[in-house]
Amino acid sequence: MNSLISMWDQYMMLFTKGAITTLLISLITVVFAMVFGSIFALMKLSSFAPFRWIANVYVEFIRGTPLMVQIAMVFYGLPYLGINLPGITIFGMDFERLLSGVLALTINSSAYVCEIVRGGILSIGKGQMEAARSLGFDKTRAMMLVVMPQAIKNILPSLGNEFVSLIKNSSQASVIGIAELMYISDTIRGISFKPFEPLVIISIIYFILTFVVSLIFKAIERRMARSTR
Amino acid sequence: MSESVAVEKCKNLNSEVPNIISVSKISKSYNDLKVLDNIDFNVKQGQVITIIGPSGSGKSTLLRCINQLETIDSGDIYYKDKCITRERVNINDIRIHIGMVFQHFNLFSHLTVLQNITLAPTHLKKMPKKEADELAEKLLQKVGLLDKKNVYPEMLSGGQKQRVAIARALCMEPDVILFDEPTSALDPEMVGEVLNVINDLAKTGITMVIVTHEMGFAREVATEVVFMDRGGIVASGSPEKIFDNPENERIKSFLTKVL
Repeated sequence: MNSLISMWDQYMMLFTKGAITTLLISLITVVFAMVFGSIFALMKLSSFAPFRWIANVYVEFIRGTPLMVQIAMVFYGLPYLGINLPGITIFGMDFERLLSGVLALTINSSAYVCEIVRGGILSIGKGQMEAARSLGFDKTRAMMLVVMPQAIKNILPSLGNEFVSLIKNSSQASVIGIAELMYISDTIRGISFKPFEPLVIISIIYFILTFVVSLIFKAIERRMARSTR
Repeated sequence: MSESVAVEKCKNLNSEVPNIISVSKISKSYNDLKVLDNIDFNVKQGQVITIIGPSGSGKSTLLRCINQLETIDSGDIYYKDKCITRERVNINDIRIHIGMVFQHFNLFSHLTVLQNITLAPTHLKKMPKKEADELAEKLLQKVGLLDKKNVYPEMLSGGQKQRVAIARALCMEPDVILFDEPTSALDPEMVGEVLNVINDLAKTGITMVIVTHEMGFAREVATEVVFMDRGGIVASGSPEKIFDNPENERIKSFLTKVL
């Protein structure tokens, strides 16, 4: 216990920065994954066959290959394509390589969010779409104003789950040298020759992050449940 | 002699009243099953047409083809002499003028009663929110549900939901309202309240097409009754003609079964 506390005291700054990086990757990714996941879901449900094919191949490929491979492929693959993602600076802190990690995780998470959103849309009876269309709404607006708001309410628990997984999965971004929690843990092991203590500390931080996310999602669910079914 | 003059007059009057909906020789099949077989059907301004007939005779399908919730295989549909099946028309612009009330209400469950009614006018007609709210309240008053304006649909009974759905259709001020078995999903004790609302509407001169299994209502409210069977219109005419003097055997046997 004492060694844990002294380790925390000694490397507090590093742990904090790691936690912020983890949180940042996850937050940015979850926003993009929501957007792209929804787009893929709509493509999967489209009446235009090539959209369905693209979305199907994408989802199956991403779900069928390991995340760590995807992260490495994005990191090493982008320079081949002549793309070099810059490091970003937020609140005066530099986040090297963060964008590669965000991109890889977004590509990965979008596939899962796609399936969640698709399920959510299918859970809404087709009468809702018909009622909206019969009033004169086009397909897009019927989707945005009537179907999606109800679908999102239904899939909130699954989205919360996905966000929690994302926080945990972001640890794999350490393989490309992003200084998130797992990477920090490895670094401190190297400096202090103590492998176990930093792991305990980051697992506590991971747990706090995921637990808070769960609580937030539960609160949102409760708020939305108050209005409707 | 005088009778034939009266009939002639009536015909002239009829031809002067414009068609709102005109359906010409439409057919539709699901795989091998022919649900609509070469149907001609007109709806004139101010008419209340009830469509009756056995289950699976194509009544609902005909209604759903009119505002193109179902696509047709052949034939044409005209809205006020404008062909909406062949020419390049935006069906959404047409649907604004054709209200629809569904068997299962299909109220938007994430919106309050008032929001359900104002959603379409505010978005599609760019009606200011205040004006839409006032119109919605007036319509809710009409269907007797003003006190429910801020509740969500799940808090309503089936009959109340259907009355809100009717108000929602009315709020777009359509030229014609299509009712697809509006009371079939209701508990028996709630059928009356919905039929009363539709009856009141009929008296205001709104054009309506109603698919229904309520024979007493079909007869009472209609200016014209259409009997469908096996994807075709077997007979149409005044309520008296269809109900009191059915010439056709199929109508006779149907009526003896349901009355």
